[in-house]
Formats: sequence, structure tokens, C-alpha cells
Amino acid sequence: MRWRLANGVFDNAMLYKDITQWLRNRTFLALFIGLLALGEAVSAICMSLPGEEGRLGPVAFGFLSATMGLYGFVVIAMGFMGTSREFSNRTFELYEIAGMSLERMVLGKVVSILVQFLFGFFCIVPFMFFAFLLGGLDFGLIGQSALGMVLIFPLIALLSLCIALNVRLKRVSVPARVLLILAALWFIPGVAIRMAMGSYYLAHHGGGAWGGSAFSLFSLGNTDDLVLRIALYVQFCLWLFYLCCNSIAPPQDSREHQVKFLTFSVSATWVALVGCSNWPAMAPAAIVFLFVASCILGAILFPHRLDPPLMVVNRRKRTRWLTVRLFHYAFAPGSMGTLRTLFLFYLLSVVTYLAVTESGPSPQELASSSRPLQAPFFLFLSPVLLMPFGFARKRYKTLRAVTICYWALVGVGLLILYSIAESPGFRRPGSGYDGHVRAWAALGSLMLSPVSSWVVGTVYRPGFESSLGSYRLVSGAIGLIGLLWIARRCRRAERQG
Amino acid sequence: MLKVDNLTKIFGKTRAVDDLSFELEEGDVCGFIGPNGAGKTTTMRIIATLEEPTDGQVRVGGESIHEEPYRIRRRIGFMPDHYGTYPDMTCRDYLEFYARAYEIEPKARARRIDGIMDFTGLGDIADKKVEELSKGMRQRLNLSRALINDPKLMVMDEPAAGLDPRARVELRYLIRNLAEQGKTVFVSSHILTELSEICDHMLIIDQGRKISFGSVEEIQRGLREGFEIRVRLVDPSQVEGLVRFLVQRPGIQDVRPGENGVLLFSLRDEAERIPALLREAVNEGFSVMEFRPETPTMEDVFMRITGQTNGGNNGNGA
Ligand SMILES: Nc1ncnc2c1ncn2[C@@H]1O[C@H](COP(=O)(O)OP(=O)(O)OP(=O)(O)O)[C@@H](O)[C@H]1O
Ligand SMILES: [Mg+2]
Repeated sequence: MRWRLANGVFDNAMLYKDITQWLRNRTFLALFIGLLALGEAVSAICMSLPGEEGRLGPVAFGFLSATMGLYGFVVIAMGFMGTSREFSNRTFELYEIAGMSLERMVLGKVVSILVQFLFGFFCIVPFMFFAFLLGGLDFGLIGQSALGMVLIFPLIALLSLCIALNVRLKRVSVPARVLLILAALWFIPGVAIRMAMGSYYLAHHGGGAWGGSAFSLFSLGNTDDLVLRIALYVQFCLWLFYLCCNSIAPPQDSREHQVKFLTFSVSATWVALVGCSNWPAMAPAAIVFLFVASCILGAILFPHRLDPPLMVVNRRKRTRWLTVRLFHYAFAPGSMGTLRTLFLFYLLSVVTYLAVTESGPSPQELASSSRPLQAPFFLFLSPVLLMPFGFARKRYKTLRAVTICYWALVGVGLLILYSIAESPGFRRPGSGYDGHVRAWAALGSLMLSPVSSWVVGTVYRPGFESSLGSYRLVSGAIGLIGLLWIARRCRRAERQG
Repeated sequence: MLKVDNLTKIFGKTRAVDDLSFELEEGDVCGFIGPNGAGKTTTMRIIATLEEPTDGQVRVGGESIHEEPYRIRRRIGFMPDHYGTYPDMTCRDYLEFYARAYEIEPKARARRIDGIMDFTGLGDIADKKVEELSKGMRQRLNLSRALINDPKLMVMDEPAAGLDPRARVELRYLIRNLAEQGKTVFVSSHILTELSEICDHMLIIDQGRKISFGSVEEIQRGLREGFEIRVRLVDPSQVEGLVRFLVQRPGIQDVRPGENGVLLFSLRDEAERIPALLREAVNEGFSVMEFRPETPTMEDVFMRITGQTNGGNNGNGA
């Protein structure tokens, strides 16, 4: 096993290919030499500048970090282009025929991008410590931002790979290039600033609950929940990794169970992490995550082929380990597996809800924390309307598209209705409406679409917050049962041919 | 070695492959013929486990594509109808890359690559960039790649497309060599003559359906449906009489009188009947000057069969 893993990394064909191409490519060599020269020049200029003690260090450091960010961006963009080219040349097929596993392909790609990045990184880091010698810098800050870079980069690389594999550009077209340039304009300053300032700064001074908690992942100050943070980081990387694998997987051999499992475990770890760190104040962050994750997972993976492909079934049959079998059962590819995963999400939401109730929050917090419970209901709502029509039972793409369109359109419609009902003209005492319309609009928004439910839930206090939790608990359960019914119905349609 | 049962593939509304069944033994060279859009590439991609069939089963060496695609991939060499090229890589790098992809032991790699380059004649251009190769060289590289795992079954999709006559001859030679090494070769083309010399089996399909399958001789015999005979009489006025005479005989069809005492007809019967028929005609007093049975070429037959299926469908549609 260990040997295989090592072999997968060091004797990886994809890595060999990418690195060979990279080494034979002259422009890259030029880039390196340029980078080194730049580092040297910056250091030399900073040395010669007559400045106050302690100001040159940060300037040089910021500049070097920005250079590193730029270099990282170039590496990622080249990785992206290279991956797109694999699609336009249809070479991925050849790797499939070679019997290369999806994991090996993606691992090779990621490692080759990382190798290229680390090469540049080790070119720059010495100069960074040189900037430290100029004064005005905290040694910890340098260490931390270096660590931050090394930790953030794989995430960005995986993300860009994931996009490249999903978008499958046949040709890097003009709009794609424009998009890439725009992304560069937005991204480079962002990354440069973040990296220059260091995650240290962000963790302590800003970014709100989200940004702060995301970046506090890299701050070494708080070690209580370090294990959880590392677990979250690793799981998130794995999640992106399997998302990449799944997007190039042939239908017989999907990586859907890994994706589902990791979506669930990332959510659970995130809730646990939030629970450990700063519970009542941070609870909304955990709840958003649960709600969004289960809605998206369900919308994309529930309207799907019903049974797991034969290959996956056989693989399950062959394993002797009970845990592996359970894993295969609970997160199986296909809509039945998704249903089981959604059930687990539902249980997790119940636990979260109970935990929030325990901590005795305000009624509004109570109302918002019950939201994820309702996700299965929303997932059930639009397909059930289509079930009477035979064509929809087998067209999973249609079901998927309808679900998302329904959520968006009905959500926006209800929001408009709701804001009219809430407008001052409408609420004038003499206008003949005594709140019934408002209550109905609010109720409809809460019940019919996750979009409106989300927005209305945060701004409106309907006066029935206390009963909202139990309502959502029940509607979620109804949703799960309804989804089971839909899956059965679709299966019957599939059997009939 | 390769067993295909009731294979069907439907893309939206097109039935690209329609209930196709055949079987190949070890060492067979089978030509896979069909016009454009017949479903050759689709069938081959299913065999190579790149595409999932809508229905049916394919077994390679006894293992099913549904259950053991990874084992099958390691056993077959697939040469698709497109090449994957990369910038900044030489031929040797390219093969080295695929040798790693097939997880060939590091020690065996160099020897294997050298052997294959010798076989396909790539030795001289080992250090040339892949991008700079000509079409013929690329096709050799493509073949080398497919051979790198020493496959038992070779699936080649139109390997001769775009090659010059000399390169075609060389390709045929290579394919024969592969067969002599005991490999089963399944090779597609839309040109029938190209394959009839090197293949011992033929599978002809059109619009996804099997038209015929068997050894080359069987197919030639089966497809011909008799002979096309051309008769020329010294006295053109006798033609009408000959027509009457022929129509009465069994197995004679499609009698077409022409100009200058020429007459064409088809005989759906064994070759042994031809001399007897001639004798009878002479005994009846017809002044036969020329009596020539013409065997249609495979190409003619192919054109006729595929033309018929197309025509038939158009007729139904109208
Ligand atoms: N991915 C696909 N999506 C939809 N239809 C397809 C797809 N691939 C093939 N087809 C259709 O299936 C039929 C068979 O195509 P196929 O490529 O197998 O033919 P072919 O015999 O290889 O033709 P050619 O000689 O031109 O290569 C065609 O009608 C084609 O349009
Ligand atoms: Mg084809």
C-alpha cells in the first residue's frame, strides 16, 4: 500500500510528462531566471535606499510576496491551459485506455503544479529572510506567511484544476482569455496583498466571521483545535481532489461516493470546529454551510442515474471490511445513495439545531438555525410537480435544471411579493390590510424556495419563530420520504424502459 | 478472445450500433468495414471501454467490459482515429510517458521502448519532437503507443487514413507481423480492398447493423449472390429470342438487352451451371460470340449493399 502510494507520486506518468515538458520549455527557464534576478534587484535596491530603520523590510517583503503571488498565478494559469489542451487534443482518453487511475492522473497534475510552484518558492524564500535582516519585520510573520502560501497554494491549484476539468474548453477561446486576464487583474493584487500582509494580519484584524475563520486556519496562535483545523484542511483538499477525479470519470466508474462522503465530513468537521471555537456567535457560519452544502449536493446528485454502476457494485461486493461496505452503502453513487447522504445531512442538522437550542440563543438565531432541516423539502418540491409527466422521470438533466430554475424564479418572485407586502404604503394602517398578506407572503417565502427562505429568514421576524423549528423538522422529514417516493417512481419508469 | 453480444448504443435518437454480435479467436485479423457514420468508431470505443453500451455485452479474454474495464484496458492496444500530441516532447519521451502510464516496471521500460521503436521503424526519429512529425510518422508513434503494453488484442480505428500508398503497404506489413506474433487484430476502414489482403475475417456493418461476418472467402461468396453474365450475339435480331429463352430458366434474373446484340443478366447459382447454360443456348441455335461471367469486385458488392440499405430506408421514410 505504502509502496503504491509512493509509486503513484514519484513514478507518476502525468508528473513525468508535465515536468519533462516544463523542463524543455524555454520560456519557463526565462521566467525563473527573471524571478531570481528580480529578487536580487529588489534586495539590492532596498539595501541602497536611505530610509528609516524598519521601513525597508516590509516594503521589500511586500514586493517579494507580490512577485511570488504573480509567479503562482502564472504557474496555475499554465496548468489550466495545459489541462484544457488535454481536452482539445483528447489525450485524457489515451490515459484512460492506458488504465491509469483517475487518482493518478489528478495527483500527477497537482503534484506537477506544486513542484513548479515550490521551485519558485524556494527561489524567493531566501530573499524574504533577507528582507527580515533589513528590519521592521516579525520573524513569526515571515514564517507564517510562508506557511500560509504553501498551504493556500494547493487549494488554489486544485480549484483551478477542478474548473479546468469541469469546463472542458475545447479551445482556449477569446472570451476565456479575457476572463483569465480579468481574473488575473482581480486575483493578483488580492493574492499579493493577502500574502504580503500575511494570514497573521487577516486572522487578527479583519475579514468578518467568514474571512476571519477561514484565515485563522493558518494562524498558529490558537492550538486548541489544531487537529480539527488540520483535518478540515486535509478534507477540503481531498474534496477538491475527488471533485477533479469525478469530473473526468467515465459513467461506469464515478468517484461520487468519495465526493459525497467528503462533502458530508467537511460539513461535519466545520460544524465541530465552529462548535469548538466560538459557538453562539459563529453558529450561523456553520448553518450556512450545512444548508448550502445539502441543497447543492441534492440538486446536483439527486436527479441522477438510480443505481450505482456495475463496477462500483462489484467493488463493494469484493470488500471484506464492514466500514468500507457501510461507506459504499451510505454514499453510493446514484440517487438512492444521495438520498442516504441527505438523510445523514438531516441528522447532522438536527444535532446542530439541538446544540443551538441548548445554548439558549435569541428567537431569531433559533429560527435561522433550523434552516438546514428543511433542505430535503426544497429538493422534493420541484421534482414532485414534474412527476405526473412521463418525460421527466428519465431526463435527469431536465429535472436538475428545473429544480435550480424553480428555486431561482420562485425565490425571486416571492421576494418581490414579500418586499411589496412589506413596503410602507402597503403597511399603512388605513389600507385595509391587517397583516394577513404580510404573514402569507412571509410564510410562502419560507416554505417554497430556499432562496427566499434564506433571505426572509434573516430579515423578518414572523412571530412564530418558536414553532418554525418544529415545522422545518417535520417538513424535512416529509421531504426525505417524498424523495424516496420519487426515486422509486423513477426506478419503475427506468425498468419499464 | 473478443466476444460481442447484442451490442447496442443509442445516442439521443441515433442508433449508432444496433444489436451487433460477433466473435474473434486468438490470432485472427478481422477487418471492420462500413461507410461513414456506420458505427465503427463507436463499436471500437465500447470495446476499448471508453464508452458504455446502452445494451449488450462485450468480453475480452473472457472478462466483461462492465465488470473489469481496468483489466481489459491493460490487455488491449487501442489506436484511436486521432493522435494526442504534446508540445515540447520527443518521441522517446512520449513512449516513456505511456510506459509509465501502463505501469511497466522501470527496469523493463527502456528495453520495451527500444523493441517497439525497432518494430515500427521509429528508431531514427526517436529524438524528434512529437509536434513536428508527419502524418505517417505520427501514425507509427500512435501504433507504438498502442503496443507498449504488449496487448493481446489490437483495436485500430482507420489506421490507414491519410497515409500515402507506400506507408499503407508498410502498415499492412506491420499488421501481418502483429498477427504472426499471435495478436488478435481488429482493424477498421471504410475502404474494403485495403483490408481484404491482410484480413482473414471481415465484419461489414451499415447504420449500426451487421451486414455480414465471416472469413474473407465466405464473404466474397456470400455477398456476390451469383454472377453477372455478359452475352454477345453475332446476329442482333436473335436477342429477343434469347431473352425469352433465359427468362424461362431457373435462377436467372435481371435480363437486360443492350445494343449491338449485347445482353446482360445475373445468375444466382453455382459456377458449375455456367457451362451447362452456355451449351443449352448454343444448342438452341443462338450464335453466341461472347459469353463472359463477371465477378463483381468486393468494392462493387459493398457499394451495392450499403446503397441498398440506404435506399431502403429512404423509401420507408418517404
Ligand atoms: N458522441 C456522440 N454523440 C452523438 N452521436 C454520436 C456520437 N458519436 C457518434 N455518434 C453518431 O453515431 C453514428 C456512428 O458514428 P461513428 O463515429 O461510430 O461512425 P464511423 O463508422 O466511425 O464513421 P467514420 O467512418 O466517419 O469514422 C453517427 O451517426 C454519429 O453521428
Ligand atoms: Mg470513425
